[in-house]
Formats: sequence, C-alpha cells, structure tokens
Amino acid sequence: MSSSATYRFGDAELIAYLDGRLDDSRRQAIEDALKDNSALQYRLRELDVNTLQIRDAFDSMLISAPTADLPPAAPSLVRRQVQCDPASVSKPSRWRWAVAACLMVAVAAGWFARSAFDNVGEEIPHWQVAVADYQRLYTLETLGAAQPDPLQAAQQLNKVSQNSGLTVTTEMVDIPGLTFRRAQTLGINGQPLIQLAFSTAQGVPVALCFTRDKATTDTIAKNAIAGLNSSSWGNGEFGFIIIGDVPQKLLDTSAQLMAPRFL
Amino acid sequence: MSLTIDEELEALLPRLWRFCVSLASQRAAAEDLFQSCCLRILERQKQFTVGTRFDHWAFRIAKNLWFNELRSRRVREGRGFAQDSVDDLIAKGKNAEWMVLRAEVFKAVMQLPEAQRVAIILVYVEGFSYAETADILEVPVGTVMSRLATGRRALKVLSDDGEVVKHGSKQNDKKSIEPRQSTAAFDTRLRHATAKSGGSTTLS
Repeated sequence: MSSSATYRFGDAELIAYLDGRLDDSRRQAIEDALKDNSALQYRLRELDVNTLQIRDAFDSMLISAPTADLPPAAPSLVRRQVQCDPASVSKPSRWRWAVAACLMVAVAAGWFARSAFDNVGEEIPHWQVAVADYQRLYTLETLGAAQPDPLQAAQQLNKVSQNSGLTVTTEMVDIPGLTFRRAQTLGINGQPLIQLAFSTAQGVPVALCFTRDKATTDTIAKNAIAGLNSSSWGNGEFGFIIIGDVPQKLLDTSAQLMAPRFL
Repeated sequence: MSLTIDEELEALLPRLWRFCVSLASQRAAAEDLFQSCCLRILERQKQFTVGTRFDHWAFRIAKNLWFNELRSRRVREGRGFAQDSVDDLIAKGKNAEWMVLRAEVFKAVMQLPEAQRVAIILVYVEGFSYAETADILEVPVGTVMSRLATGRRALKVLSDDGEVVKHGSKQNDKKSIEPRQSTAAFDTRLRHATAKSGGSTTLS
C-alpha cells in the first residue's frame, strides 16, 4: 500500500475508529486499508490506548468526592421564608442561599480538609461497575419503545424470576416517580444479572439490577460510579443496585422502598 | 417537568469536583476552583437554558473560571501547579495490584500537558462527544481531535513502558488493532488484577 493511502486517514478518523465513533463506510475503508498497510497499522497502534482504564482511574475519584446533601434545616428555612412572603423569595435568592449554605456546611464538615481525601470507601463490587458502564450507554430514547402492558410486564418479570431464583412481581416494581419499562436477564461471572429498567417522568433511564452476591451488606450505600448516582444494598444472598443519572435522593428513597420487598 | 437547579447541581457535584481536579491538577487549586465554580453557577443560574445539558453548562463555567481567572492568579501568587500525590486524589481499595494500576493510569493522564489532559478527560472520562467537548472548551473540533491524538500518543508511550511497536516490526500485527480494543501491557495486568479480585472482564 502506498504512503498516500496511509495518510488518506487523518488522526481524527483514526481516533474515531478506535473509539467506535466512525460511520460504517469510513470504518470499513480503514479496515480494508489495514489489511496490507503496515504504516497505517503503526499509526493506529500509536494511538491505541485503553480509554476504559482511564475512565476507571478517574471514576475512583468520585468515591471520595465531596458530597453535597443540603443540610436538613436548609429546605425548611427556605420553605418558611416562602410561606411568610412568597413574593419576597425569588428563585435566584433561594438558590443563592441554598448553595451558600451547602458550601458553608461542606466546609464545616471538612470536605475540603485533607482527611476527605484519605477517607476512602470500600471497593465497589465489580458487577456494579459493569452495571454502571452499561447504564451509562442509555439515552433518553433507549427505553422509549419499551412500554409493556400489565400482561407483558408480568411475563417479563416471571421470566427473570425463573432465571435468577428471586421472585419479582409487578407489585414489587411499583416505585413512586419511576415507570417500569422492561425486565431482562444479563450475565456476569457466569451468573444471571437481572436488569429492571425504569424511566422518570422526564424519560431519564434508571436501572435496578441484582445478581448473586453474598458479600453485599444490607446497609444502603451511596456511590457515584461512571458519573451516575447509585444506591446499593444486599439481602444476604443477592446484591442490588439502583442507578441512573438522577438525583441521589430519588435513588435513596427508591432503595429504602425496594429493600424490604426483596428480603 | 425538569429537574431544579439544586437537584442538577447536587447530582453533578462529584463530577464537577473531578473536573476541577483535572483542570487544576492540584488539590488546593481544585478546591478554590470548585468553590468559585459553585458560586458562579449560583450567580448565573438564570442564564441556564432549561432543557439543555446542565453538566455541559457547568463544565464550561469551570473551564472559563480556571483559564480566565484562577490559573493566572495562582501563577501571580507564585503557588504553581505542583501535582499532588496520586494517593491524595484517588480512592484506595482492597486490591493492591488494581490500585497500583489505577494509580499508574491516573498519574499518566495527570502528567499530560493541560490542553491534552482536559480534552482526554472530557471525552473519555466524562463521556462528551467530540463536538460537545469542542463547545465546552470553545475551540474547533479539529483542535480537540489534535489534542486527543497528541495526548493518546503520549499516554501510549507512558503506559506501554517501552512496548510501543516500531514501524515494520514483527510485533506489528494488524489483527490486534480493532475498535475499542487495546493490546497494551496494561490490559493483561488489569485482567490479572480483575481476576484476583473475583471480577470478570468489565474493563476489557
């Protein structure tokens, strides 16, 4: 292959190819050229780094990242102000107060202190990282067509119940603020991994997943994994995680509701 | 009904913190940037267009704060950008081998020049498209691609630890080059570490 063929593809195209973001025709053109073009092979190899490892390394920062739960007093104080004189508390001022309070409490709690960096959490179970990676690929459109009627929902849940050995009924997937969309059986480490897919009223996808994991405790843990919020717990035999690009509060509430249903 | 700004910010804070560290590459500077960024979001929340991506908007604020204000101030004050130890910035875990690998990757990325590092983090860590990254950084897409290419080449050299294949060598096997597949020594070590921790192939 001539050198002109080597440079027919720019760095941008080679990167898009490695990232799986190139359209089919150009991808095929690169693969055809790669068959007998060692210079192109070399250029591609020079750019070939494992980007998932990069993401994993930086995702580990999220575990010890500052949390920013507003203090319980803040909303009530704001609410009281609104009740006294709704017109006097515009949204910007409420917002300014809330974030300032958030920052003050955060500083007081020491999340800017060095100890915050040294306060490390437990290693996130491997299957939960896999769930997060999978969930991260979901878009607002992913679950658009998944609108099972009650009979279909029951059939899907019956199937995953059989596959997992854990009974899941339609009543059990009734979660305030979330609409059940789909149940499917995935797999990890040779074990079934069940995904119950939901969406918020805005269409944001949320997944409740479980697999056999005796190591997970019954305490509900919060983690940001791969840029998604999550709450996870266990029942002694199965580990559960509910995860999505939604406020942590929604996941916590849902986890507290769901945990007793899977005892 | 869309999320309120406080819900959006609450959900974003861990990622915003990570991005601030990525920009500043030093804990103290990242703290300044993070605080300033939260306050700037507060001040400018009216400018946020509901229905657009909050993370995109917030990250651009962080970027502008860093490049236009805080970075130059820190230079003037002579505080510099000495990189913190990796242990200060990433979480530790039980699997020592995994942690060594994770620290190596983290350190390699943080050693990149600022422009390359930020582009790589926005695309491969935060998951933005090339166009979105260009928009956040307010540079042409071609510039983003150029920074990604330069950064990836540098990382390849760093991470391969001498494994970079010479042009025309016998090791240069085209069959091993496929989208989303790496042949680096890191992969083998990662799988080994993963197997030791009882995991499977999530990261490969």
